Amino acid sequence: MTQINWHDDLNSALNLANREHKHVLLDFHNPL
Amino acid sequence: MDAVSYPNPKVIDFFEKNLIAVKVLINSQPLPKKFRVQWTPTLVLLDDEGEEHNRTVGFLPPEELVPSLMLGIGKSHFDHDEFSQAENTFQHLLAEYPKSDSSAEAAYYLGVSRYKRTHNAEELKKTIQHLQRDFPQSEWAKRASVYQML
Repeated sequence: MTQINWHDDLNSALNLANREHKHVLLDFHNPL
Repeated sequence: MDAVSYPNPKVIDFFEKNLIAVKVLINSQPLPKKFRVQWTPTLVLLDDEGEEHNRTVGFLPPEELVPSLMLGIGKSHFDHDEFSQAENTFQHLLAEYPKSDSSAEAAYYLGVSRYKRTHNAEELKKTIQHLQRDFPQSEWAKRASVYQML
């Protein structure tokens, strides 16, 4: 992988984290 | 973060192996309000049930971002009574990033995890010795100083 695979939905991220035994990172950012 | 830390190969590799990453615009809803985030960048580490275990505010360069995330994952294991996994994570952090800003806290939680697993007070004495040797000026050496009296 050459870049981070970002998601935009928390619920689907939690489901994925559960399946893959990973944690979820929320990056709150400013668009500017 | 987007310009410096996220393109870093070590950061990308760590995310790939350990994290599901979600971008959240600060001016969107409902997550900024739900997590009470007022400033960016804010990084919030969750377990797979959506419970928060660590957060950081402000820019972190790659050599600080990875240990900071490792610390959060270790604290998540600790909070779930998964002390062996917590120990492994904190040991890994200290081995790979011995001088990071997260290392003293990892040393503290490593000792506390060992104590929680073994119920052996010697582990707490070792913790303060470790912190006084490697991180004598850290706030975590102060927080562990009470264990000298055990």
